[in-house]
Amino acid sequence: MNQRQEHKLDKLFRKKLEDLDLGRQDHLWKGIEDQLKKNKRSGRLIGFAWFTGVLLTFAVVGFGIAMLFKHNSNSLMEKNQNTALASQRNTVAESSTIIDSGLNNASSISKEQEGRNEFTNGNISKDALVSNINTEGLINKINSKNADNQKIINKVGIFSNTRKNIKNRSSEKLNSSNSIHNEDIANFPQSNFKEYESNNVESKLTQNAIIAPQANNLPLTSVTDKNTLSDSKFNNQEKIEEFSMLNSSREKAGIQKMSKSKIRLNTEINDFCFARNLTPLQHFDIDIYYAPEISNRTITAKSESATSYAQKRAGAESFAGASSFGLRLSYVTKNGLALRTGINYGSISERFEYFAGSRIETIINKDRLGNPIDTVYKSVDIINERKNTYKFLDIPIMVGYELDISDFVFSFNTGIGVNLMTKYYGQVYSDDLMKLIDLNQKVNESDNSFLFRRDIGLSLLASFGLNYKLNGKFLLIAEPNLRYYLSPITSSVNPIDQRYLQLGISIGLRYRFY
Amino acid sequence: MDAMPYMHVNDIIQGCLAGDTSCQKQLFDRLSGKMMGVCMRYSRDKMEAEDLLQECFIKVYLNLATYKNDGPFELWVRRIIINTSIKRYHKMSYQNESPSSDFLPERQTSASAHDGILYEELLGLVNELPDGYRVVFNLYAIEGFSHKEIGELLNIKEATSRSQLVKARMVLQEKITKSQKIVI
Repeated sequence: MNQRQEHKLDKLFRKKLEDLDLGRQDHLWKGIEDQLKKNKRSGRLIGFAWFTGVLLTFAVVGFGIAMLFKHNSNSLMEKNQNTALASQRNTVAESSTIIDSGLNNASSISKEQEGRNEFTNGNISKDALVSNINTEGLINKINSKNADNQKIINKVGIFSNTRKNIKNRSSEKLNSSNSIHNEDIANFPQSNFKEYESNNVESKLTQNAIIAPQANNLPLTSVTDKNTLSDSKFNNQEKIEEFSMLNSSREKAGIQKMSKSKIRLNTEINDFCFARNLTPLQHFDIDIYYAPEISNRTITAKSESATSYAQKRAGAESFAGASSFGLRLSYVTKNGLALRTGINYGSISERFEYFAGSRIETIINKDRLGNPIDTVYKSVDIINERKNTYKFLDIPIMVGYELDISDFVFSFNTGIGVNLMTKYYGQVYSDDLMKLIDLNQKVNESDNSFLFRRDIGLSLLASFGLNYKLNGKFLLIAEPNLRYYLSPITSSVNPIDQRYLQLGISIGLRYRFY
Repeated sequence: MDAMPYMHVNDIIQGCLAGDTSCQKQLFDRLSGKMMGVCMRYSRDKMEAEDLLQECFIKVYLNLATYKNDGPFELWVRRIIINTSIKRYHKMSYQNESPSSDFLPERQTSASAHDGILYEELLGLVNELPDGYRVVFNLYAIEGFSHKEIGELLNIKEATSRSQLVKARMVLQEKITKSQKIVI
């Protein structure tokens, strides 16, 4: 308090009223007590809502993390399986190459032998010795080839085991692959086996039934050559027939190779099918959404003289509701980078309570008999209420990162919104607080300037998407988002700045084109 | 309630903070009379004053934890009432309508020119002032705020505060004179 000379009237009023005690106001306690109880209940409700919200958030995040771990462990297992399958496939391919090479070797040996037979038939007397030497050389070659072929047989054993492994894996995963495989085996002519058995083929070959057609071709060629050469060097006709049979076997082996390719293809397809939860990263989506929002309005005075008006506006208007809906197109690259755009229509509603005058209420007090004994006149303020609406049409342009985890797609997005149009419906206090003015009111009728801007420029956008895959094409969107208009909605001639920050949660559907 | 033992205000506050309803009631009983007097000065009628008192006591109970014991508790409550009144003044766009007469005190005979005027009469005169005058007069004459402080509180210019005070005094002086003429 400043030192000042007290006015006589001030002194009178201060003396009489400063410490005025009007006695206990017991009749008011009940109302206070009720209000306190109500506040306590609403506090509990708010606390419960917060608790529930926090609990739900933890549940969703926990579920997401659990799914992430599950997905990672599955991916690891799948990766290991794929690695094993790939190495087995390589072994198979290697074995096939070796078998093919063996078959070629056998074929060349057979041709050599055939040539030799022809030679010996035509030149028995003259070049018998040479022929014999050549034959011996051939026999040595064949023995050497047989040694090679024995190695091939061993590899064929690996091949067979590998095939068995693939078969076992396939039987777990791929019935279709099995059917092809079994069918190939079943179609293979059993006569070949019998023929080979009759030629003292080692049982090792016949045990490897899966690759029998290929395996039998190779060693049997060599072994048979060896046997027949040692028993009868010049039984050419028999050899020719045998070679025909071997060629036939090679043809069968060729079919078998085709079947093997089919199996490989099918295995790959089914490997892909196993990862059906993993949607391809590069995709194109369209979203349709609706977002209930909370709007936070900031009113600031541009000058000191407008402070009172700003406070008056802030006090008389309160948030009633806000929402937005729209369409959004998204392109997501292979590395998860998302580009989004679309159109967003937002709406903010505010309750405006204003003083519309006062009325005099007449209260007539009556006695028990109904005769008027007193008349009381009471002035009552008339407070009217109306709803003001602000509507915005924006084009959001956002970049983001999308993380595809199991059945969920998480995304972080940020960008700008370009305002196309803003419309207003309602009334507010005029800057002199003496009347109400329309939100669409022009400053001057001559120029086309308004108190509220028709285009409010850019807004900052940010969102966190938590999307759930309903199936391969549709996702359920739940995306908390934030929008802040950088410019005020009020024009330069308005004595105050009025800005909006909106928080909401977009709920909708996403359709994945590809 | 009268049978309750006398408690120091700090103990009552602690009880209120603990959610003890009896302490809340005791605090209300102890302060409601004086605070009603303050509310009456800032209001146009009794009904409005009662409404203000209830609102302020609810604020007191809800914000009791913010009281730092750095001054008399009564002053803290009084300050809440003044702030709430100012907020109400800003919120409601009162026009200079004629006040209601349901709380106008009965005109009583005064012994002397000024000192004999009863508080009810003075309170009635304050209630009859237009809102702006009343708030400025209360803040300056009774609470002891300067015009600068009033300007900051009400978001008005210092000169405006001065002129409103002068006008308030004129109105009050005129009404007192008129009232005494009638009585005499």
